[in-house]
Amino acid sequence: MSVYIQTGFTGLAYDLNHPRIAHRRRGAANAVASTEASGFAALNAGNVRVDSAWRPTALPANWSTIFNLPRAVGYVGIAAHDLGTQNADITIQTTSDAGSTWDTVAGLANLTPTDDSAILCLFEQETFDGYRVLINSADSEPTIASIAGGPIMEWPQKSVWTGTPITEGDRITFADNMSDTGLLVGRTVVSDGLEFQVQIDNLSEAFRTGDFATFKAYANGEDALFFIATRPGDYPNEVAYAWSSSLVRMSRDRPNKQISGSVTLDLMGYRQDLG
Amino acid sequence: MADESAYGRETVQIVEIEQPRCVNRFGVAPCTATGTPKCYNVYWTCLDTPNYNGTGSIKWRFSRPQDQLRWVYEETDANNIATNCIPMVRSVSATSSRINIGANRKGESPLGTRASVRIQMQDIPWDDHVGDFYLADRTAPAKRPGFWALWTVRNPFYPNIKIRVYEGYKGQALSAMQVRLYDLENVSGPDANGRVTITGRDPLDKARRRKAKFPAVSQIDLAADIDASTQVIPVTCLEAQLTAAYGNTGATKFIAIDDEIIEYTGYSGTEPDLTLTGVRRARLGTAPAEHSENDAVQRVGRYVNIRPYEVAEDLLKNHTEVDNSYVNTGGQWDDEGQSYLSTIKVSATIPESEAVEDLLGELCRDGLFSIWWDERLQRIPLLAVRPPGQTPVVWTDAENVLQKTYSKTVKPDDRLTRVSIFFKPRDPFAAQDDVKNYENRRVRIDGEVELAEAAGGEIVENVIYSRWLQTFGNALLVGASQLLRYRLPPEYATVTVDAKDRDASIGDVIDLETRHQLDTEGNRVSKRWQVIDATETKAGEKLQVEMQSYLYVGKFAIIMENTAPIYSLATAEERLNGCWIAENTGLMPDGTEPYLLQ
Repeated sequence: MSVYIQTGFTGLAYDLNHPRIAHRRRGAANAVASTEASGFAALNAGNVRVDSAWRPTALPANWSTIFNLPRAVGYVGIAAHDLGTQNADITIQTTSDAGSTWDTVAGLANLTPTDDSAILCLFEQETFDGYRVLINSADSEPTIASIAGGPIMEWPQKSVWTGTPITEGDRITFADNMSDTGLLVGRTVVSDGLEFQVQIDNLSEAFRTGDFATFKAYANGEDALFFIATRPGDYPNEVAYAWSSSLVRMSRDRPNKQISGSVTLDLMGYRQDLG
Repeated sequence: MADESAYGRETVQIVEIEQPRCVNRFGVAPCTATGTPKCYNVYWTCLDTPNYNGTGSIKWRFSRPQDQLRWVYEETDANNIATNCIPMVRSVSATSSRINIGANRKGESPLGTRASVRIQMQDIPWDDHVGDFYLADRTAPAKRPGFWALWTVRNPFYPNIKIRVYEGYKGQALSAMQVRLYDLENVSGPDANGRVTITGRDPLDKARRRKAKFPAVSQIDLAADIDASTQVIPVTCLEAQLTAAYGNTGATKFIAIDDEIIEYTGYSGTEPDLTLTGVRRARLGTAPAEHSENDAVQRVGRYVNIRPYEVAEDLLKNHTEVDNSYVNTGGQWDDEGQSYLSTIKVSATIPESEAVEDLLGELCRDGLFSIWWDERLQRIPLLAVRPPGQTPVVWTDAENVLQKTYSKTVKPDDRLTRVSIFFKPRDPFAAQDDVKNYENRRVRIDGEVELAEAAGGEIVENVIYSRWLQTFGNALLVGASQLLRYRLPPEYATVTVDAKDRDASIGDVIDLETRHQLDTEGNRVSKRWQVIDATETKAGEKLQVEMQSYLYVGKFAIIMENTAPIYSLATAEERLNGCWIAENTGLMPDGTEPYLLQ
């Protein structure tokens, strides 16, 4: 799991050790690609699902979307893919002239994911006409599911420094089969995805009725899946493509509207190793 | 970790539902459909059903969300695709077939216990991004409905829809996984919570249903009064009613009117007013009689001098809806039959419509074989009651049997001390248990197990009324086989083994070595069992195996090639399948029992 950060980017309103959630998707319905394998259309990667995906038929390849109107974009995320397995080299680009020219985001060129876990690229949020993911090279054509781009949600407080980190959140148990004489004859790994918790305190009423309200409506709604990076500056591996297993809501912990709110997100997500 | 023998294997389950779909495109010749909504290429959404051509297919694949599988989309061509795994499976529970060896266990179907599967899913919003040729022409609903909510509306019936359950391990190719096949039986739901329950049954179930009858109920009426001797038999029916084959008598066919069977070889006239030709009255042990206009005429089934398994094959292939490709697949029935069942041939007359399942049960019993649906092999195998064809697998306490899983039951009520077989019935219309109707009877008694000192002196008799058996030799074989298996109370052992032993399947013979099996001196002994049920209680983790005590006296002798080795140099496998003449002592050179020539 990796967060990639634009060179020199230190955050919008808050530094990069504040949690980021990316849930707003822009232009997915306009997705196109340089090539598409049969059954792996570009549009398949525009939704939240990871069971539908885009796969090019030739490299280099690109997946792009041009918005109907210029929109704010501060992140590009890739939820599920085999870029690591395929030793892929990718670049994130934006356009301000409806796709006539594409500008590589500084520091987001020639990224080489080391595994197949979720990727979140953060950069200066500006108004763009679109964005694209360029696959420069790979061992063979990779498969990518759920590419998203849009404005990022920055949390005004850091998350509480306790609990299970995302990278320790694998829900795994072992089922051991012992023979009648006590020999271990088989072991099965029983996996149940990724589970972790994020708690953020001292949130204001203004945040609750603003950014948080939008996020809450999304996370409790039909699509529900989002990218989350709990402390992208210091811990770039702490990122996941996740959903909440319980109702997302804020509680009031103290009678001060500047710091009254507290949110605990019970999250589940996709594990790093796709089978 | 990509196979069952690896420590740390991670199980995955994939449910695949394959349904036919039309290969035409909406409004493109030969399809003449117009209007909206456009179809989804399945029958009940078709706007031009006369041109519906369901020779394409879509395989919907589903997985457990936690399995997080890679993309397995496949496309043979545009009309035959398999989707990626839609992550909505909550649970899969399957019941294996349970074989009824030789159809001998009472109270069970001769075809054994049916295999079934029950799959629970959680419906999820669906956007038709795959499987819909006309997605771009539609207006998406404001709120996306669930996959199953849509599917059940588009598919109110389930003809020729198959379920495959793949069970394997993460990293394993689909083709390397174990796969079980069923017919889709029902889709229930989604309920208010979005829960969907899907059930599947084994394809052999089509032979169990009431409508699988032999011969089929005829729709033939006698068109005029006839006396007891006339050779002119006018009937009213479709030609197909007279030409359909019910047995192996070729052009010679039979009808029954009341209790008389009449032979014919053809017909004349114009449908539906037909007259039988080549008529011979009062055939197959029946008496001539007068009959009245509008009397019901029933086609008669008749098999003559044919191997029982060939009758079973004909019944399944031609008189049930069972897919023919599942029967005698790759000639397996012929191989098994010709190797082990070649001595028995049977004849029978079936004058009234009877359940195919019952007839198959009689054939299994009298033909000394078993058939069942093997959901993993995806076919209906045939297994003779015979010694193992290869060296049995050895399972031990240390390597195979899991802790505290061994159990054994003994069924003293199922034992036999004698078998009486009545065969060659005189009147095919008489009740099957009417002993006076049979020409012959063969009784086989095991004197030892009828001794008061040995077993309490109780006589336990199995009486078989066989319309199929024709000779004393065949009756002897059936009686001997039954007594051999059941002279002692049959035993059933159940063990659970690790998935590394998941290749064990129904019909396999296992040599079990466990501390629970002792001789009179307290030494553990190896005992031979036959698998009658193999169910993965935890898919990819554990296999529960039920076995029946396996008794077969002697070795099945097969004449060998010139290059065969002498006995002392032969491998265990060769000794199992070959034939050597015994020493003067009556034993083989290594002191083991001699071969028996049957």
